[in-house]
Amino acid sequence: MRTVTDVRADFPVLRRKVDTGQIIYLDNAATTLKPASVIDAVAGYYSEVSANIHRGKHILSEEASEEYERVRAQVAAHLGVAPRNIVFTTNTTAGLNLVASGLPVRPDDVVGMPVDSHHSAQLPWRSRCRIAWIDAGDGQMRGDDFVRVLDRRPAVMVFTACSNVTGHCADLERLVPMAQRAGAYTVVDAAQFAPHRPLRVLPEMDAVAFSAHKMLGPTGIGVLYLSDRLIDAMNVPPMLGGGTVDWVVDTEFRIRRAPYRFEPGTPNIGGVYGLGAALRYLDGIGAEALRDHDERMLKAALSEAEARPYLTVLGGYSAENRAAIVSVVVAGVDEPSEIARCLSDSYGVMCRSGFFCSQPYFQRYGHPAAIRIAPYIYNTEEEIGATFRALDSVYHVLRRG
Amino acid sequence: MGLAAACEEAAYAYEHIPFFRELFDRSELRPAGPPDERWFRRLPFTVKADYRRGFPAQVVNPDESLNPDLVFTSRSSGTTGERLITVVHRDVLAERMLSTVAMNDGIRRNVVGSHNKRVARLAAPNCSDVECATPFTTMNDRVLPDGTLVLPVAHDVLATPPSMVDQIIEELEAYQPAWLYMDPTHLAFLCEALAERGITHIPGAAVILTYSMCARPAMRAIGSVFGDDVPVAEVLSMSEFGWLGMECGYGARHLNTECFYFEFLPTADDEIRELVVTSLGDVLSPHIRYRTGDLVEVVADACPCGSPGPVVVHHGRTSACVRDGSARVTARMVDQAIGEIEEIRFYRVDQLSEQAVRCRLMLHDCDHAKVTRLVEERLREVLPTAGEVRASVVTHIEAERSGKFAYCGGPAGKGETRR
Ligand SMILES: Cc1ncc(COP(=O)(O)O)c(C=O)c1O
Ligand SMILES: [Zn+2]
Repeated sequence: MRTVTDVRADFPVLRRKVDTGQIIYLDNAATTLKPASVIDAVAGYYSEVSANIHRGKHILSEEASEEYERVRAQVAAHLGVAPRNIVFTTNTTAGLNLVASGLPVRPDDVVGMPVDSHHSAQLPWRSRCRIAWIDAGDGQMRGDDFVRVLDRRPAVMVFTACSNVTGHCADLERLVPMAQRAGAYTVVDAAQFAPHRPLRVLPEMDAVAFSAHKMLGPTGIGVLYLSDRLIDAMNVPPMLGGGTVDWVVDTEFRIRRAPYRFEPGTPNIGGVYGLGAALRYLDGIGAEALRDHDERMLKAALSEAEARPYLTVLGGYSAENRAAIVSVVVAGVDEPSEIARCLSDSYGVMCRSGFFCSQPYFQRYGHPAAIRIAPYIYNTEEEIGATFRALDSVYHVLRRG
Repeated sequence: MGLAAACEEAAYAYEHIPFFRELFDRSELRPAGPPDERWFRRLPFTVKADYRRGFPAQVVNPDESLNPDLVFTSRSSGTTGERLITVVHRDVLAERMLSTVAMNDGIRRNVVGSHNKRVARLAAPNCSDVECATPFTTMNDRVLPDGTLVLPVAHDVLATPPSMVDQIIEELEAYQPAWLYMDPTHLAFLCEALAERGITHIPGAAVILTYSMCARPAMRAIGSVFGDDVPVAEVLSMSEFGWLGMECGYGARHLNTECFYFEFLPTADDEIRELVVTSLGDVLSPHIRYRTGDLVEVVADACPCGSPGPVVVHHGRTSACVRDGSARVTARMVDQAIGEIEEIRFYRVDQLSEQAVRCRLMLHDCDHAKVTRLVEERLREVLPTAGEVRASVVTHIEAERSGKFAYCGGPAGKGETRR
């Protein structure tokens, strides 16, 4: 197995020096760093192929089309589904919006979702339907609340596979089938889950969205899985144009089959090359090693946080079924952006502060803005330790009254 | 006297500030006996990165409280490599302001002597402690505890929509500030908007300009609104220090030697020096031989106003120079070359490559081709070896990401602070 040191060598950004020397990158829940193989794959597309897909018969176009579709099949295999159900989007947000804008929902339809949903999972529905919030105070959807929402016969149930605030993963294998039995379409925001755990699409899932950039891939490329039943239920895609039609005359046109009907215009071909390379890189690490490392990082961060009375971890201290994403609230500090800035400028620690696009969660449970420590495969326990020691020193100076 | 005080400041810093203790020890310059001049002159220079890296644990006096009632925290508007957090005692800042303003009678009378303490500020939103770039804030949201009204403005100042300009004008009327504290380009933009609306007066008995360079076109726009009865003066200020110097009644910019010790570090250009500042009497976070990155020209002639502070011409930041071969052409030199062309409202000069310089111009009604040619000629005079100097007329010039308007953009590809 490859050691973390081997892995670190693959990430050029980790060689970058800032004022304080080496960087400690802990903002992986926002986006991960990219290994050289991904960078090379993207650059390789532009430097060696550069042609458009699907519409050309020349050899460069053939080559680009082949790789583009090969990656689609690779993604499908990764998820255990058919390539025809895989749509390339720009990111998770675009995928979730595509579903919300394509499904024929009415303003009085109910859409259920946990309070800790990401804005990208909430807002596409909030602007179209009535929302039934599911309590998620300790980082998990509360079972009785979930059932209470199902009793309202929701048209759609939105799941956060893994919370970007607490790192807690939902029990999708139990909950998603319940939702489908209750007659709802099931939509899964897997943006944080996909980087940390093997993502298997269940037969009861209708839509699953995630972004390449949170799992070592390039920005601007996302994946949306759509079930056959959802594809059938969806209206004419909200965006049409080149690539989405089979045949056009001045009086009518015929829309192509999925997934092409959902990919209007020239897509992010270089991004797809990069996504393929990212999946290969993660396969090379192996799901088991990924999980082991993730658990060690989580435990390190939780125990460092627990040892400090001035910190409170959102979602509690349990490591069960939880990805390595730890958000801490700092006692007496409502606005930790200055702390995050000092961590960066004085210690080279890059992490995020604020509400992490899940503001209703903070509002509902009365939490002030937090600092999020989100390690990934190249981080070490020493880095976690150094980060908390830096936090101590900044906290103690800034809090001196 | 200044130097003796600077020596004391450095000795104090060695005793109380971890960063300086470590720095002087490492340079084998631990003070032995009473601090003297020779010792001070050997001390290493410090730079912004030292303070950024050291904040807070290394550069703040561990024996001092950070109680916000006593301490002001300034967050400089610079982005990434330039940003900085500084803490200063509020009374130290007030003293620097009072002793600086004493160098200009008209301003002192109308600012210090004003019956109310209301100030209106118009500057890049990042320079303020409140969000003023959204149209949703109310005046009350934007009044700071010290009585400063922060006026609304877009991050990209010249793109401030007319509705926000109307809001500025209404708020000034409602607030009736004693004086105005403004970025010259922001105020020039406002003055143009006033002229368009036929408004010839805004409240305020004095105008202090700061935050960025006073370019001549901006000064023309400001001069057309504020007559002789309202004193207008430039203040030299930095987020690290507050007020450092001020324009006197004779138009000369004097440095405040009561609160600071200044040195002028030679650069490749004989006339142009980098301003180096040592704070005096700052026990919280003293700055010793701090390289500001600001370029100044020291004027030898005595000023008739009688102020003791040395007179400087501010040339802008080292990062905002264009290059002509190996020579550095400062933003001030560029302004001296083209700023007096009356048709110019705003301009920006960018170095696109070693060889190519581009100038974008926003002009009053005039013969564009003629002015463009004139600008190119003038620029060629200060950039004699540049292969390509091209001016063009545009309808908009963007502000920097910090919200400040820059008249000069440094060499292409610079601005990265990678090491
Ligand atoms: C849980 C969750 N959902 C959705 C998103 C949105 O992802 P993207 O910005 O790639 O569309 C994020 C990213 O922050 C996320 O954490
Ligand atoms: Zn004078």
